Amino acid sequence: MFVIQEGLIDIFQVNEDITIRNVEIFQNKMKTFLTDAKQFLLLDLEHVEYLNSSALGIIAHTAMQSKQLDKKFVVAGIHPSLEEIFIIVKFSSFMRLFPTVEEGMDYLTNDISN
Amino acid sequence: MEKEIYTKEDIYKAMKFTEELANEHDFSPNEVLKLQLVTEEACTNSHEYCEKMNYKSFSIKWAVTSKGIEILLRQKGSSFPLVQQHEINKGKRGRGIPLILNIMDEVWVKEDQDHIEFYMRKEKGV
Repeated sequence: MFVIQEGLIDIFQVNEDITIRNVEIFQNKMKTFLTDAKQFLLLDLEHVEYLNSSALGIIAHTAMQSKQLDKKFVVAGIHPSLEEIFIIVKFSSFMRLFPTVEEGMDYLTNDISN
Repeated sequence: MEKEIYTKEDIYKAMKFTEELANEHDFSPNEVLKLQLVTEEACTNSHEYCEKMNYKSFSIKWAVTSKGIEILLRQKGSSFPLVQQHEINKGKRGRGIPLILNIMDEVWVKEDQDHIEFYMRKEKGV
């Protein structure tokens, strides 16, 4: 799991499934990501097929916190297996979700331009 | 097939066993992931309850029948309601049971003297 920057966008790339084994690491890294990112945040789940409910809670909390901090947070690269889970937990009702990282980047880039 | 669960690492092993069993019985890759998830969620809930009440462990049992994969958790304690969530949950916790209720084809909780049994079943290809 690591953060990279592309222009004004901070991208947190998660390159492993999040289970009971590593969810605490994920939580710490997401907290740092939210704090350190300037304004535009993208959570890249392209290499993730599995998230436990604690990880889902961390993502929901980050989405809510970013609004309070006036930061723009999106989730992108959503695997089809995760898409079903995100529908069950109704994430699209309070955060922006994109099937590909490219679409997420385009959305944030448009925001930066406007 | 039955395991006793004491630690978080045991929960991870239980998830992996569910994965192995579901793969052996030709569940789809997507179903296998969901079955791992419900195993982790159910076990995590039981583990948290055991820690809170100072119980040593709980057990998990698997069976594959014509009705699909059946998973049964058994632990000391009293029953709890199985509540489906209709409001949007924007918080950190509380998604485990709603996920299980959505994914599985049959779920029940039964009290048996001073123990509870938590049962989940998933049919293949449904």
